[in-house]
Amino acid sequence: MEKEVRWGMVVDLRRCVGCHACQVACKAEHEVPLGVWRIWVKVIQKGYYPEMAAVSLPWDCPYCERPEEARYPRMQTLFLPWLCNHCERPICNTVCPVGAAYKRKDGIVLIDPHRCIGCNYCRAACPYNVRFANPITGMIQKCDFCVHRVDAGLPPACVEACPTNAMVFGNLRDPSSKVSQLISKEKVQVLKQIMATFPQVYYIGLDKDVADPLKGWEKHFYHKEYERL
Amino acid sequence: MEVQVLYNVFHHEAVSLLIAIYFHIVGLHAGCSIVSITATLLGKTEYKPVAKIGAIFVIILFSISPIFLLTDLFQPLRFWYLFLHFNPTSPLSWGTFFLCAYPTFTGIYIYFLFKNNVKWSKIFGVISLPFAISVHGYTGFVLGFAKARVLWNTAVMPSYFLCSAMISGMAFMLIVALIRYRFTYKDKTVEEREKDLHIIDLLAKWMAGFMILNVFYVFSDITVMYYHTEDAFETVELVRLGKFSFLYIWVDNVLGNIIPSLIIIFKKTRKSHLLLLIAAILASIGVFVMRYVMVFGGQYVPLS
Ligand code: SF4
Ligand code: SF4
Repeated sequence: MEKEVRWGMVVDLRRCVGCHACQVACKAEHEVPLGVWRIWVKVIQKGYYPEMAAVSLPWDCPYCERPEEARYPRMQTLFLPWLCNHCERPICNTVCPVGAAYKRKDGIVLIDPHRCIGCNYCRAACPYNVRFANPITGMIQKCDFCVHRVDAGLPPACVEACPTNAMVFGNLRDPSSKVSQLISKEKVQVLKQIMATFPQVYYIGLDKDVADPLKGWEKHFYHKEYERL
Repeated sequence: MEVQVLYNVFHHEAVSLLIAIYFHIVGLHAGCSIVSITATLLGKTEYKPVAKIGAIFVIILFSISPIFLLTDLFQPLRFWYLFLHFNPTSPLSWGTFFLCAYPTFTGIYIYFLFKNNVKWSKIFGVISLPFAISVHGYTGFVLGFAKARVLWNTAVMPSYFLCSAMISGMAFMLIVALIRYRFTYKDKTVEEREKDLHIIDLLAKWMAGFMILNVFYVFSDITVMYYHTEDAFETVELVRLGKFSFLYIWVDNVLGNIIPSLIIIFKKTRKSHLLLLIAAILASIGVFVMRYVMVFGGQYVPLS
């Protein structure tokens, strides 16, 4: 008898250095167009300093006035790779009117590109904002755990690209797999447990401020940088 | 302690303005047909014109509403997949069913109404009434089932949407009835004029009733959200104080509900047709603004 498979992921945030390699690898693997992402690394800074500043920013931070004072240990930078959680009870599947969003037996949530009518309802219902409409083809897409690679026995592209092995992918039903061991030994957390979608992407060392979408959004939600995206 | 987001991704809005317009038009024709059917079922001859005016606008509005729905799809040529695959847990699937059943039965009802066949128009009126209610009621469930957005995911949503649909339908018919009276009253006898005025009066009173119900829904929705989760709290702050406060509180509720209902409640102002017309126009604007705020206010709070 074939052993039951349930794919899942553990992201060890203690190891994540915020290099965005997963994000880039995913872009390359799936030819994701500009402005949309299947996985991204959310970065926040928190600390006790009124004018917090950028330590390792890819662009010049407009809020940065006294960068020399806003440094460790007064503050810290937190990273959070954010991707589709391949939920146990995916609301996106529940609400899809044509059954184009579906869940495979092994737990991977997919979209049937030949059936999806692009009604966007799944995008409105997913609590994690991970679905997007491909600006070129108009298809609804999201992270699919690199299903073509997984079926061929390879790990997803992001997992393979991660230089610190912070992302671990494996079979949650297999007690000897690394994900199961991490979940049973470490203190894990999922995103937005309150939504009752039962995510299958687990995080070790998740900080409440980086997991909270509302933190710091007053200033940033309509930040010019994001307006262009 | 301060928290600053340095990098995050926000995907574009899922529900567009087209859908807000669609909700409004569906509300309009559902409201019109509910009024029309009720007038027929009550069976008084003086309600006949109301029933007929309503029926005509149902046909016109219903024929334009699917355009908005289809143009919003990213794969519009695949719309017929909705008929092939039925998903009982998706309100959009229910909507497909209602959007097919509703014109069928209402069409037959309208046919008998214009044939002056009282018995059959009543029978088909009874059959199409639940469809008229559900064809708008499902849109409330569409928003209500999107569990990501707290502004939508509330139990009052379907009834709130139905209530505002009734307001927009009645306001629309009130405008039409007022214009009709203005252009035809010269050729009418005093008795006929009395009847027309009675209908206008009745429509206005019912509209005021639904407006008061609507304000109650808004009140209970907002106050319950204050005792809810963090997301709900932020959302209601947004609606009350933030970006949408002017539109929602002032344009929708004060100008669109409270002032028109006050105009209708006081007998003196109700007798003035100009004020009634203004009340009806304000109410229509208010309902559209409510749809707009629901769709965009719900999506304004970030999820990631
Ligand atoms: S994270 Fe969103 S898109 Fe992914 S399975 Fe869950 S509900 Fe669906
Ligand atoms: S956009 Fe496609 S996958 Fe999403 S709910 Fe509509 S049909 Fe289903």
